[in-house]
Amino acid sequence: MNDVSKLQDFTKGIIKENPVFVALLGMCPALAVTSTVETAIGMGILVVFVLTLSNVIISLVRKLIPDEVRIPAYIVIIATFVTIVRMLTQAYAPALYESLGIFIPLIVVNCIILGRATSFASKNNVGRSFLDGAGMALGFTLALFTIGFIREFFGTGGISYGVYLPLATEGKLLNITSPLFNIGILTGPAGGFIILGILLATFKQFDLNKQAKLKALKKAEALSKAAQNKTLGGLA
Amino acid sequence: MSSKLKMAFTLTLIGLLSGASIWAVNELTAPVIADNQARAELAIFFEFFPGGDTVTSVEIDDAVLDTEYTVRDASDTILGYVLRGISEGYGGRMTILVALNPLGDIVDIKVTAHTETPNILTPLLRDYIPNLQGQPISDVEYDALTGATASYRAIQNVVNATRNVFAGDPFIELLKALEIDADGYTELSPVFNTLTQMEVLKGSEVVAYRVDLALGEEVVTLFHLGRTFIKASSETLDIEDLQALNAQRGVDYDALTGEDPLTLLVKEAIAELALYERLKGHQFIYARKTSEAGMIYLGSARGFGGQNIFAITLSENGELVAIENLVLADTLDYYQDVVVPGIARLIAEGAAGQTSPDVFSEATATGTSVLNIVLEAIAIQGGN
Repeated sequence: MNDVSKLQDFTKGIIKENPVFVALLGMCPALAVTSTVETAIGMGILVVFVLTLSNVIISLVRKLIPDEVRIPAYIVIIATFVTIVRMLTQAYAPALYESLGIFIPLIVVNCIILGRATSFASKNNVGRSFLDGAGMALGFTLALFTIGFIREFFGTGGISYGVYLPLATEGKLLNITSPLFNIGILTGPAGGFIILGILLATFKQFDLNKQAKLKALKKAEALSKAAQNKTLGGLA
Repeated sequence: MSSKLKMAFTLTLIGLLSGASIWAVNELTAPVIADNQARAELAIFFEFFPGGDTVTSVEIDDAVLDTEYTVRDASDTILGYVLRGISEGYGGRMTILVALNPLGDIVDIKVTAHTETPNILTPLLRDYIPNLQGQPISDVEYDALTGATASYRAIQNVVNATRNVFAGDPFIELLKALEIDADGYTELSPVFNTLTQMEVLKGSEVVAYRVDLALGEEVVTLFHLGRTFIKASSETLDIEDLQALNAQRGVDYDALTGEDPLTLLVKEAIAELALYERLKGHQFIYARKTSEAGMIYLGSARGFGGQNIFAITLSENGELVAIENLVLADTLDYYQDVVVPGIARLIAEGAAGQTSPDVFSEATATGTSVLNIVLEAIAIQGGN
């Protein structure tokens, strides 16, 4: 495996195969815990931990697990990491634990994690599985951060820090009091759907533009080839 | 068969490893989590009672309530009580805290754990809890309309249980009956002969004394405002004695008639209360009558080596009879060579005439402070 494909294992999850915006996986936390940037990042960190480690462990034991019990074995491994993460969060970031609530145990059923376990970690070596897990989890975190930033910034006019995450200081960035940045609905559940919808539409539009461009490029290539052939034929 | 065995073995192994790692992390985090929860609970108590410093708790044997917490400030004054109860809401068990001030008025109510629908519970807490704040626990008026929701009923349930437990406190009931406007009370160390005592406070000002008197097996609760006793209550004491005492409300305690044990006890208690009021603000920690109708004052005097404690005996007409050292912080040689002869001279020459520490032959730290407390005791006695 060369360095380019290694890099691709890592980077593909961030934009090209982003689990939230492209694969539409992990929608539940993407809607539920993105009312603030901090909870979004907090959930992201937990998923980075769980996804990377479960990918590594599953890749390590992939040859030992019989095919028939693959899924229950993976679920037990994932659930173990989620339980560990839940206990560590409750002990060292209690505010984050309170605010994420039921969504921490629900990481077990996050489609991204079982999805990467079955489609990647069970077929690839430890190094690639690690990069894949880390990249996908970072893509997930980036998606949550984007949704969370838009919701909190336009919903409250600023970004609070140190409230849920155990940071040394507490405060608020970009404190704007204009009504344009105080759209209450964005911090509520409906705001999650609206922002996610807009972001998905934007991603889709980019994708369509890209495809249209490719199509146009192909058409142009075909035309120029035809024209070349004609010219060549003429010359002949 | 062998493939089935392999499956079973793999799953068992994974299960064992999973269990072991969860156990290990739990061992590591459990104490931290317990600590966090205790701290979070303390923060809620101090939110109820700003200025709170310590919290003590007792378990309650009740179907709904499980713990009663007492919140005190740095000077040990009781700021209020918090009762914790668990009741069934719509979505499951709700843990509810009811905070009461010392008079039994609801300060606030908080739901600390629940599985209710947030959209139902949040407006309920926001709109209807303020109506309960300030209401006396013995007579709470609920909002009839919101009473229809299961969440509100769970809160009512805990508040009612709190009333059943709390309204039984005779002190609170008596304070209310007497319309004594107080917002806290302190328990003092029992320095007096007849009484263990509580000051009833309004802000930093004492508005009344609540006194428990032990008469044989009985305990009489007495309120004393200035020199007026207002009410005594007991379930089994002779009600006529009580009524006779109460009929003399407002009478100077020296003029109280009746030779029954209760009246004598009340007279002595009121005399001691009067003495306590005079001692306040002075450096005496205790005073009581001697058998020869004089007074013993226990005072602390800063000497060369630290705080010395002296018992100063004054006769009925205010003459210095004796000074006895109870706790000696100075060195023994110094005390015997310098302080004792000075004390002897002080007694022989009559302390009331002394205004300078020359009587101690030199102006020592101990001599000056002993003279000061003797003069102060004489001044207090003179004001009797």
